[in-house]
Amino acid sequence: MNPLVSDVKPICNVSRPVRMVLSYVALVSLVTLSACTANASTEAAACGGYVGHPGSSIVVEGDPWSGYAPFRPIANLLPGKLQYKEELDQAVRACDVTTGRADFEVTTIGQYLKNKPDGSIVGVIDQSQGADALVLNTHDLPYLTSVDWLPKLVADYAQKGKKPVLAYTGNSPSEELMHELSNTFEDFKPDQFDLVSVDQSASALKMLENHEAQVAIVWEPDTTTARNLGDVVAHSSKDVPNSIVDVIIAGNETIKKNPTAVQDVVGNYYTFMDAKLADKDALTQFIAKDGGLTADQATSVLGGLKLYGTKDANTFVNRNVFPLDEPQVRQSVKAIGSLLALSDPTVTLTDQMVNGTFVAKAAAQSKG
Amino acid sequence: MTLATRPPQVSAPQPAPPPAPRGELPSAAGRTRRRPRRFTRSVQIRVAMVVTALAIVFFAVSVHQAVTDAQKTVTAVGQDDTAGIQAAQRIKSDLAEMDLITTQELLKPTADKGSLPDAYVRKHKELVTDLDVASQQITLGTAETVPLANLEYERAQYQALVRDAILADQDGDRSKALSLQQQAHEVMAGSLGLQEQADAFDKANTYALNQSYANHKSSSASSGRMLLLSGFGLLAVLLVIQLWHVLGFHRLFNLGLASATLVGAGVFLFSTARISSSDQHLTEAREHAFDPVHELWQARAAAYLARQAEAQALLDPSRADAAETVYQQASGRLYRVPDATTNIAESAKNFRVPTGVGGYLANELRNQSISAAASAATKDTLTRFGDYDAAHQAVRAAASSGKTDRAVTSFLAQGPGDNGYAFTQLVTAIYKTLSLNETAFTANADAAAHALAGVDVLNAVAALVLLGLVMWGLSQRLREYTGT
Repeated sequence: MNPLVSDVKPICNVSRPVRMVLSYVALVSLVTLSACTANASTEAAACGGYVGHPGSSIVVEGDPWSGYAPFRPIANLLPGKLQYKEELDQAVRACDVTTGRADFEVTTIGQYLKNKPDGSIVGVIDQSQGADALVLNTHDLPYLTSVDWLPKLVADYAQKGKKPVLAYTGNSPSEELMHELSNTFEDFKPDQFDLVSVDQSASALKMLENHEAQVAIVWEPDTTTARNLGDVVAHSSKDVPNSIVDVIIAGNETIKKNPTAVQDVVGNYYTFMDAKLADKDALTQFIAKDGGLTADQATSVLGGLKLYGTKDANTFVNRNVFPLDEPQVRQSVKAIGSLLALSDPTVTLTDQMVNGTFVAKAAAQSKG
Repeated sequence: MTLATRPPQVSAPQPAPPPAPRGELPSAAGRTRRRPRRFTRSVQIRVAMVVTALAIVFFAVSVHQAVTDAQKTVTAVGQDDTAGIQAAQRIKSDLAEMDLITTQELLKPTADKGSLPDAYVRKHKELVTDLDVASQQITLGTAETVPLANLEYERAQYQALVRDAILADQDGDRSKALSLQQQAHEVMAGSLGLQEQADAFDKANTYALNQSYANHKSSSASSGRMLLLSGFGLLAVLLVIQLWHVLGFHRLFNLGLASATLVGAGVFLFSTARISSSDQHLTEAREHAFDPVHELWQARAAAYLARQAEAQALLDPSRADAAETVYQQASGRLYRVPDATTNIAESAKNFRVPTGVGGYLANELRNQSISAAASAATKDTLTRFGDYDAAHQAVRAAASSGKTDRAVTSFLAQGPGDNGYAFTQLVTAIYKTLSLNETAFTANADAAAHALAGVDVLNAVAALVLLGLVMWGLSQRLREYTGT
């Protein structure tokens, strides 16, 4: 036997410090892996089964959008029976519907499809027709009066080695509008901006006011406030029709266990809206009070919204529309959902997503 | 095991030890003395082999990843999504032309009684073919199938209304013909109509294209960094091992390691150059050629919408104001100025794009052109737009002063100075510019794909060759220490 051969030590025969380092690395990897797995499973569990909520009142969750005003306490849709909760996080709102912590949520079709609550569309609230808007900071940059001046803005910042700031609310209709506009108009390219995601429209507006953003995407009543500051609306939801539709979502468990409550909410909502739509001044005052606006500002807010009463809602949800001969709500769900599915393959479209029976009954009762 | 069972230690005769290789210390007795440390030369050589092999594998995987990323984007940007957008724009163009032909037929009938105009039938057949082609290219699921199904559904409704309108006009029932034509136009341009469905089809593909390209830009940056890191890492490992070889073994040259370094450097340079070249061609294709193609298709559709608005105003003077608004919106999508007092026609002919001017044609002039010919074609298109806008003002003035016949004649006529001629010149110029950009796009997309051809195969072969050379080079040393 060659003495040199017996001299060779196996490679795995490593020294103690090396073994310790390797053990440490393995331990850290294991802990990280289990933490990730635990985090994922916690997220899944957080939105798991139906647990319901304490109390007998009906819980509706929404955000400060002007279109949701009738659900807020001042409206008293169902005095003593309805409880409105503000939940800005759309994913949490959807989860609350799935788990029963909320019976209803008010949101857009896009957010409904994206966050997938275990619920169905039981009514339509409004269609944004200019209320969600891309606003240019004209009060700081007086030349910035239309999208045609964006090339100059981008070029000016590029000379300084920077990008202009665009503030928007992430995971919200503002983000939907940004995608819609960028895929519709060649003159708006989000990658030319430093995109800053904020928690709500008011924060995006504040960035415009504080000279921290050159462009922002906001929703009413902030769109009107921005206009009053001297800022200009470059593009809005009016330019991309049928893209931002606010709807009432009822939890499927609530529909199954308490259809009367669902009918009460839907019916009372449309009765309330019919009365307001019949009296424009009352509607304006109502929106002004809800958003802390002047009458003129409230009129401007209403100019960017198509609000639905019983008849229009029934048409939107249940009547076939020429030339496609199917209800508008299904066309909107298909159009919005099929685009969302491009970036999120888990978005699926089913016939059960829309339940038009409550609106139909409300329409029949309103006729009667 | 007990001491009793232990085999007796026999002192067998030992063979003469081999001469100690350089680097080992012979003992005074002529036998190698065991070094006190455990990390012996042979272990060091084996570790060097493993480290180099890992560096080679890391490099090969990085090249493969970069090539795969680039190939995926080239396919998405160069073929799938852009083909969808072009199909959508062809469909939109077909639709706009069909609507215009229908309106023109009612302005001045050309078809035999009981039949539709030849131009309409031809365009309708083209639309059916384009829809068929689009349905065979579906890659985006419901985002494409939903608008295509809607297009097919509404096309049938539009066709029925157009047929009834033209036949009613041939039967002398003008009011019925106009009412049906108006319904047909609603199916075409109204809410959720054919034009909107074609836009939805275009939007789906634009969305996918933008997403693919944005993903590519971020992933190509990281895979590029990884490629550089792994390439320089491999070369550094090879150089360090050669240095160690020189200092530790007092051998100046190891053929295996030297060849591996040369091959590694060659493959690294080749892969980087090819991937970078593909990336440049893709950027050229996407940003400098395809954006203009997309915008010019849209410009063509907008020109037809403007023309249709002119026709509507002449067909039904009671709707002339509404039609003029549509004309202004459509022509504004082609070229618009910030100041209402600026003469659009004159501004368009100046070929200068002052800040604040917008529209597809202004964008073409503002952006870096793909070639001198494309740049000249863009300028010509702007001149034609200026002529057309001026011709529109003339027809509108004639119609509003009661000279409707004269306005209709100029609208349809194809002589120099006529509105019809100006429009034909405009769409021809748009199409010429579009074709030049399309050719440049195809050439760059092909070049981007061509640059990547064979890189992956070469990378795999090179990795094996590198491994072989390194193992061969180091095993020579290993043999000296193991005697195998």
